[in-house]
Amino acid sequence: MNMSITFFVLTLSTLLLPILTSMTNIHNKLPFPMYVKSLTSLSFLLSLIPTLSYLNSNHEAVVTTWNWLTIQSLNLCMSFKLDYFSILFMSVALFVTWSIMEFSLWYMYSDPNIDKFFKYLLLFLITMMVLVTANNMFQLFIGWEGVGIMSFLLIGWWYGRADANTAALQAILYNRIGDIGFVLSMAWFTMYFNSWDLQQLFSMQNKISLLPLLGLLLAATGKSAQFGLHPWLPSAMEGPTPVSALLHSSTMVVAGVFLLIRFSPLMQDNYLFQTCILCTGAITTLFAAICAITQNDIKKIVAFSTSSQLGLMMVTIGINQPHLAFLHICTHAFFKAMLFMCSGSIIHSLNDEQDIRKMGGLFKVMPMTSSCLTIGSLALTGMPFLTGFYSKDLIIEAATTSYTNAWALTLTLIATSLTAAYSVRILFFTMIETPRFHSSASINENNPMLINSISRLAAGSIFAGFFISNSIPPTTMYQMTMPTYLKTSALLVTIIGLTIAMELASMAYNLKLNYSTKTFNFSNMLGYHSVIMHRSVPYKNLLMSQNLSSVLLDLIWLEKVAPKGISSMQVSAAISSSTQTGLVKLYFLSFLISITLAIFMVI
Amino acid sequence: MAVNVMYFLSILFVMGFVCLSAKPSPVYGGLTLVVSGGIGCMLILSQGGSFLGLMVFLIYLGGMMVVFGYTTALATERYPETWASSMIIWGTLLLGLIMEFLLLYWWASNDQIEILVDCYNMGEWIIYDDESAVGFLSEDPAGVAAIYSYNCWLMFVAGWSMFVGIFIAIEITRGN
Amino acid sequence: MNFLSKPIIYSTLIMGTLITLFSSHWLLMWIGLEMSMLAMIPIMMPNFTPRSTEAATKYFLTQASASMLLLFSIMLTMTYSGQWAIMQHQNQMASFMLTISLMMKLGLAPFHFWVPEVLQGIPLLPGLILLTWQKMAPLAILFQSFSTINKPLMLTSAILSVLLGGWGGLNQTQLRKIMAYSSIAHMGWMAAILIYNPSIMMMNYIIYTFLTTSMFSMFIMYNNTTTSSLSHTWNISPLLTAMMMITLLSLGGLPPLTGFAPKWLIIQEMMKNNNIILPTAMAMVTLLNLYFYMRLVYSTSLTLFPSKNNTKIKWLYQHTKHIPLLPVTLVLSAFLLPLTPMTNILF
Repeated sequence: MNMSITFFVLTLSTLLLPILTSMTNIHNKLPFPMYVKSLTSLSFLLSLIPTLSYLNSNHEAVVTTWNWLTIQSLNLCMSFKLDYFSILFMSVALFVTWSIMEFSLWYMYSDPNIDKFFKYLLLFLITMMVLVTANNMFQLFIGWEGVGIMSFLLIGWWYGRADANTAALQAILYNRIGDIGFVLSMAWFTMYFNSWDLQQLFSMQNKISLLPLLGLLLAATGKSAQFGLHPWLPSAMEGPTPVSALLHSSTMVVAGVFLLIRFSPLMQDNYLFQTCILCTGAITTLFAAICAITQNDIKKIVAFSTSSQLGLMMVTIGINQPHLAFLHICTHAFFKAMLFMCSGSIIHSLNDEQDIRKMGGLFKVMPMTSSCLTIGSLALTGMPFLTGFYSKDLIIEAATTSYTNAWALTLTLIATSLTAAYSVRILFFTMIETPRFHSSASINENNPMLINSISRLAAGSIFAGFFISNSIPPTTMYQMTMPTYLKTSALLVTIIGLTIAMELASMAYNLKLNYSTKTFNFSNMLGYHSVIMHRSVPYKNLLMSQNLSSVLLDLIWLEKVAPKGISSMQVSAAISSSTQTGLVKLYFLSFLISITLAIFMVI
Repeated sequence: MAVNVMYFLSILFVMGFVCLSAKPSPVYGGLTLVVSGGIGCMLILSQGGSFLGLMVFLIYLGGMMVVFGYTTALATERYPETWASSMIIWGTLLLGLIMEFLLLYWWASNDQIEILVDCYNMGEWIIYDDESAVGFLSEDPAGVAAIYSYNCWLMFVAGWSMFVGIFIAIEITRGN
Repeated sequence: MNFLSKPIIYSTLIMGTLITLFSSHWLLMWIGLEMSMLAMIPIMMPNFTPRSTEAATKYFLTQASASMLLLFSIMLTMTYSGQWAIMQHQNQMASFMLTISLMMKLGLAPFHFWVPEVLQGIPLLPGLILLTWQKMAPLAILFQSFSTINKPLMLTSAILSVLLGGWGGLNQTQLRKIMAYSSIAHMGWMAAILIYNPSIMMMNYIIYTFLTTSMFSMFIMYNNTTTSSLSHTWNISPLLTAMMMITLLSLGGLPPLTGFAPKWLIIQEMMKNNNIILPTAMAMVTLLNLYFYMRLVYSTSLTLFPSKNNTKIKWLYQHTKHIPLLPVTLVLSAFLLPLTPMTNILF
């Protein structure tokens, strides 16, 4: 059905319109942010047509429009792949973006550069669309780099602050490490498969080696903040809250997972590689969850929960369930974006206070926000029949019933219960008990732009899981029967985590603060990863470089060896060769030795 | 017979220099020089240069002995250093002599000693054919005669050198 | 020195060298060397000071032992070839002996120790004679027998001379010692080119003679023996400071000056003979010479040494010493480079 392609193109061009006309005065009736938001919502509505049509008829499409470049036998086309993943993700991303843009209208109201901010958001959205719909690696790479650079610009939005700049740099540097993997894979594919086209790559899936797959894993690790390359994600919370909501929860950070989902046909028979993904994901999900339970910054907690959920998505890919991973991406987008928006609302109302210890009792003064925060947290923990349940429960179920790495599974289950723990911690500290914030805070959440956007996402957080999980094509056979304890294991660990966290929180509420233990420090200092990787390694590096440049190069080479070395050598040689006592004996000794040597030369 | 004389004289000749280079008092150093010079003259003599040997001994060594006597008279040392007076000089002398004899032994054991001068070679003789008589003349007086006759410029140069030598010696020793 | 003995001694000095230059007989050659060496001794000690006596004794001892070695080499040649005529040495040992003895006489590298010591002990004019005239006879012998000289021996000695001449001069403040080391270095250059092209060696010798004569004439004029006394020249004769700078730079071999010509030709000739490393090394090592010439230039011409007010008007007074050769040698040592092509005519 050509209509879906038409509407897809229409969706993209609708998004392009504000960018193309930003210099003109075509939108003079509306302010630019409002205009962008309206067009995004329009674009979302347009994207619903291909989505619904796909859900109805299950047809996929590839649009190849323009031949960019032909290098010998390598053909580069502008090509869009409209399959289940891209079509559905487009709708979800547009819906989330729409809400976030509306939220930004409220949150960034006082920002003098709000036009630019919206342009950035829109550009980011377009690159994200390019990324998900790309049908060849080149186009994918354009989108990949596009979201990277937009993430850099948006994290560093408040570039006057050193922290924001550092975080932006950190994000782009970690992404660069991931890009090395991506470029490695691209190079390998050109060398051995001579194609970047996805269909052609998938058709050669039995000839693939481990190297490009590891490159893809590295790329996904960088982009999706998996263990090892994760520290940029919590740091990225220095950006504005809408940015965190859009880029660092729902869209950009899932690009790595999405990449692996896209390339899942290549790895579905490669068990070694799947184990790699599984272990990476399991470590990430547990590590991020451990880090989350001791953070006090509300955005950091949400960020770590994002990281944890991304790890869970990787675990899902690791057990060869890309569709489930994709499902979790979609459901996660709703409630995580909403969680960020709720925390943004709280932060904004409390005069930019982010520390959850200085909140409390907010459920009375911010009923809408706290309700939605509760819904989002419950959805995140996998409360039955909320959005998160549909994906998370399926994932845990699939994991427990598969022949998989029990260690990784255990880590995942622990992380799942920790999810409940840190969610409870947020709720406990922000909502209940008495207020601990400054009384002068002017709390007001009655702005329709805030209410509408959050409530729209709240609806998504409640219902979207049901709809989307119903539309998953049954590609793999699910386990139809299983023991009750396996079926309820996800729920059980969540409830255990929740109750324990609740008990601990109420128990520790009035206790005097003890000196932090080693384990606490491990968790609170994010496993010392940042300290080691961000301070000691660069410190040693810089120290070594300084020593190399100043001591070795400047001092030794340019000073000691060349000028001073030569001069001191000449001086010592001059002294030793011309300091003589003037004894005739010495002259004759030199005669004797030289003549003897010369005569021996003759003989 | 003649070979043995040559051999013996050569050993004595070197021995004289060993004694000199052991650095005793200059008095004894001069003495050994004179002795070695005498032995050198005897060497020339044993090769048949009777005129040259005699002339060197009479003129050169005669002059040298005068100098030696003069310097000995001037020397103020009451107990001049002999070869036996110091362990170092004695050791040096002994070492030099041992070296010489070792060299000789090595040389002799390798059959390196050649007979340079045979018995018949008792001097080169020149036959001169005058109008009145034919006779033999030894080579060295003939050379002296040759210098005086057709090498007069060499004679002049040599004489000038001699003169300058003594002149300079006087010039630098006379003081201001 | 007595005015009567002076003509005898100087005539012997000149005659000895001339006999060596003109003779074709080894014995006469040797006699000539001995004569000039003997005549040099009273010239070196005109005042009978202990220092000059010591210097003369050292000179006599080294030269006499070199002469002895030379005589030994002549005897060997005589024994093996049976003749006294100067011709190609067939015997390598004799050739070695000859080369080494002449190296001793010239003060080339392993035998160079006596040169600065002797020169420092004698007055300036004998020093000039020692560095210029006394080199002529040994160089002439080398010139005549260059083809039989052992190349590695001579080149080793040459590079060592340049090196030790450079190093030795770095450590000195006494002008005569500096000039002695400069002479050693120049002798090294001459020794290097000798085995390839003795004509260039002679040219180098002549130019070196001009330069040294200029330098020593200037030293004699104001009786300078140390660097610090040299730094007062600007009070006495401002013109001479500039000329001294030019002469010193010419000695160092800087391009527009005369001293560049022999270095240029030597490097070119050695390159032509496929000897590339040695001239490179020599040119680099000669920078050391240039360094201590520059130091002299610095203290003479580039800085004004602090002096008392009553010494600042010395330039008013008439010079008491007149050195007639000075203008000629100064001009020759500065501006001879354009005449380099004419060296073909000379040889």
